[in-house]
Amino acid sequence: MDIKHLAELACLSLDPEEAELLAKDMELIEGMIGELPDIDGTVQPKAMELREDAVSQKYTRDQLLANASKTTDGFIVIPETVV
Amino acid sequence: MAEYQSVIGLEVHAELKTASKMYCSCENKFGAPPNTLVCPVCMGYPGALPRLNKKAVELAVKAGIAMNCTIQQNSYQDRKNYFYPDLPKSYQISQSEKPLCVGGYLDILVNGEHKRIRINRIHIEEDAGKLIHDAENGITLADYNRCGVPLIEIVTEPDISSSEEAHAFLETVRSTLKALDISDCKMQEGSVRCDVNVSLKEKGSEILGTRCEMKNINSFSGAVRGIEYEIKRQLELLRSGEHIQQETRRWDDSRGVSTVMRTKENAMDYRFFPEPDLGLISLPDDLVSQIKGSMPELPGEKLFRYTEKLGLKEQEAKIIAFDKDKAELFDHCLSLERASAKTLCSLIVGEITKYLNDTGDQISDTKLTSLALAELAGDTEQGRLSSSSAKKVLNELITSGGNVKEITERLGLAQISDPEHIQKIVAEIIAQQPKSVQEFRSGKTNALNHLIGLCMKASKGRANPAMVREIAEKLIKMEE
Amino acid sequence: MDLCKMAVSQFREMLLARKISASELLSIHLERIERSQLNAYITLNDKAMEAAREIDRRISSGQELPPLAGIPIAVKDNISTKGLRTTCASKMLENYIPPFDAGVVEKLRSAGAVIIGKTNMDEFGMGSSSENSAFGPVRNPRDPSRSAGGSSGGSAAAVCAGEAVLALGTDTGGSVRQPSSMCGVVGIKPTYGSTSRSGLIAFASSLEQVGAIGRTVADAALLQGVISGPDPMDPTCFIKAKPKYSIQGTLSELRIGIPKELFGEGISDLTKDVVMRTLSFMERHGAKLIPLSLPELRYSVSCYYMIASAEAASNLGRYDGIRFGHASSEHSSLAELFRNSRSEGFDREVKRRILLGTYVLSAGYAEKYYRRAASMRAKICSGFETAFSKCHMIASPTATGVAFPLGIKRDDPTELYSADICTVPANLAGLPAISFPCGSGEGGLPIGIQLVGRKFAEDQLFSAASSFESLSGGYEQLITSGGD
Repeated sequence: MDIKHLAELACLSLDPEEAELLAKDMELIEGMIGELPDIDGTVQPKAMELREDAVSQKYTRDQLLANASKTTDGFIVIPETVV
Repeated sequence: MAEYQSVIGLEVHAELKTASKMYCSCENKFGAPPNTLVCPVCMGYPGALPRLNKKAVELAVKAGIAMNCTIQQNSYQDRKNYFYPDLPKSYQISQSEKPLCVGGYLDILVNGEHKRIRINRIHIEEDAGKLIHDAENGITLADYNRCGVPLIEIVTEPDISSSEEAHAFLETVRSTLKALDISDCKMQEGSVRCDVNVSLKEKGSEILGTRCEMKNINSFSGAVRGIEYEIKRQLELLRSGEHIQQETRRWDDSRGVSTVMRTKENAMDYRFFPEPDLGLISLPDDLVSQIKGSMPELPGEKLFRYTEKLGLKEQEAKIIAFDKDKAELFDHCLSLERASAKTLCSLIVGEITKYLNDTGDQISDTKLTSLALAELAGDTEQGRLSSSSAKKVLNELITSGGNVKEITERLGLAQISDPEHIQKIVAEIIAQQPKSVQEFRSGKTNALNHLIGLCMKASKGRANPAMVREIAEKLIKMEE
Repeated sequence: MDLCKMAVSQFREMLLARKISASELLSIHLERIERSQLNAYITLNDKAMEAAREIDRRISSGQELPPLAGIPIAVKDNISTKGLRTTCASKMLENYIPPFDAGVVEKLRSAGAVIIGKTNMDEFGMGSSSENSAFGPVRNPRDPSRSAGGSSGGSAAAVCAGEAVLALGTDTGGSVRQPSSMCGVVGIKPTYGSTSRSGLIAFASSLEQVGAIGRTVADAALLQGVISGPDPMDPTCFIKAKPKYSIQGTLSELRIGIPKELFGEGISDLTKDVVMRTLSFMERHGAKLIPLSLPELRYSVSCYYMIASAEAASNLGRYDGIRFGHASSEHSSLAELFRNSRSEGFDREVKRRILLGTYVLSAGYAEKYYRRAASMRAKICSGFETAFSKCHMIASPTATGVAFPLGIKRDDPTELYSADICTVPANLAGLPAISFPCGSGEGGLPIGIQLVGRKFAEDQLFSAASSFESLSGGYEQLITSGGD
């Protein structure tokens, strides 16, 4: 496992110490899960019921923005400029 | 020196015309105040689960049928995982392994050439939110109203060979989706978007070149410019002996250039896997046959009929065929058998289109009926109305309605085609213009046009111009 | 009589007879919690008394009472409660207040239950000891120096210690059953698709269900009956009608399969002993024991960890500090904001699972890991199907041993993973499974036996467990009689 690459894919930043510890952990985990035999077959998902196309606006903006750390004029503020 | 052929594929995203979003009951609407059309599901709140919109699936199936795809009776969705602030769950629910529609085609007409563009797939997915960049304050504002709006993604095979073909394809797709009420395809509102894949291959070779993807294309003409820029860029690289790098590039229409976003090395690993929160999408047995049975003639089909069977010019035929309202008007008028296709066409693409463009109206906003238009066209064709008179009548029909006969009489616009009457007018003018008559006799053909012009003026534009010419020539020759 | 060890039916009788009020009942529980060292709760519900008083008003006006009226219930802190902090025992959601109730919480409220508070757990459900918590570990009421099991340790401990009458837990790979076993209470993981996951803060979507924990089988069955049933907000909750769980039935003619793979070397001898004696007891009362082999079960832990981690890595992607949750104050770019918020918010176990999940889905590895795990899962499902043609249910120990001491320094994170051997198969196959106490092991600590049933056959499981319970006199009897 390339911990650095995986951390990047998973959007985690690991300081060198933590990265080293995790690398050791992951080696053991990789050993435990091992390799499964290559067999055929899948679990077919169950057919689901689809939702009727009707509008129902149950929440107010305030309710949904209440947990955000910063908002302004109804927008959620991301404290960095996204390119 | 090697000669190259451009190979182009398109990925078109269109927002579906549903009342609610793809996975929740929030309203699917453009232009609302920020974060007012949201709920825990589309904002990616912990514990919120998606519920797939039935109408969205039906519209996607309809699009697939219109583009001659094979519709999968059973399909499912996959998660496409990546991090970006406009994607609340950090995954997009899309389709990877088993798309709803596969293997279709769309026929296009470019400069008289018919071409079949194969469709690789059409799948359903959800849209992301909107980010507004405020560089001055070093922040970004997020609006999640657009999160979860239903999308179809139409992916073509790399069958497109030029920017014109790309444009024609986009026009055909847009008009088809609009005609079937699948999407309103308003590029300025972002309800239709496209990404472009361009590569060059050596002429005659089967081996495809390295392709580059271009994103951030916001208009069909932008797509044309982007494609042409990319072809030129790649050509220059190849001619100077360099290799094309597989890249994803960002098109900047205002500057007319593309810049690198991602290279192959840091290409996205989306880690697709089946969406565990949704089950199998199993279509009702009769859905496909039902939709097929009620499918009207599509814009592409109309285009072919207009050009092949009715002999209309390609550009004009496109204006009508690709506009649902104009096509409806045209076809209805045609069925009334009062006038030829050509005359109807020129009235629609001419005066009527000008009026609609100037006023921003739809045909349904005007008072024009298809019967009136058919009659007008018939009168024009048979010389009962001159073209300038016809314009005036048409204007009346559009703004106030009524019928052709009544308006023509009321405005006194009936064309004069009585030879005796015309002869009288011509004789008078000839008598008043001895100089011009002399000039014509000595070979100056322009002089005749001058005389005809005066006759037309004298008749207030109502005289049949062909007849005036004929009679004038006759009279002048007779007096020699 | 210890008020806090009584069953729901007894409380209901007392409430109806006005021998105690709902407010009093709640107060008694709150006092107990106040004095407790178990750390079973993260947040107490400040609206609980209001709800209790409402029930009291209904009682005094003679209105009909819904099935859980006035009963104090604990809810695991990964189940959304509107307006009441829901943390998943993580720094990431330390201050998160859900704007909606989970489907199961809505059902609790309709049933008149009084939600006392949110219980402590392993962060995001990842763990089997309830030590991976940003709010400190949960202590086992049987021996406070030991773990209550996990990840629903707080729920199991609360019920065991009389700090709640009933509790909701969640079970992804054994997280209701194992702590129930460790604490000596009854816990059920229902059939996948029988109970709504709407509002359950997702760890592994295709594996988890909300399960009931109670002191008796009847209590667990009652609670499960309340929370199970259709919910349009969850498309994977495909049960067609609200189930009615009865506990009538006998052990006679019950065919119980005994898979040798779940009685192997990873399990303590004493545990195996106690469970086998329990099965012999059941045999003496009419059950038939059928030895079986389910060879694919040797892959089940590996299969489980691949699938669960993959789903978890994806489900936990939404925690970036923007719309909710911990937002880092240290960042100089968007990427850093995301990464730092996540790294600061998640503990080590969560990071391990995310890395593992990312790995098994990543380009070049997904085929070898995730895809094969999905196929193995199908094989495990069909293995059970075949087994169920020979028996009604499958028995095994729930856990590999009794409650272990808190604070063990483990250099190998897979130690605890391997201990999930008996519980994960039911999650992979979506089958119902119950754990109930059947005796004591080392230090007199409880041992649980697990029964796994056919899909939607919770009734059979409740009946079998209940029969054993009455015939053996119940767990407290079992402790005193040495678990015979």
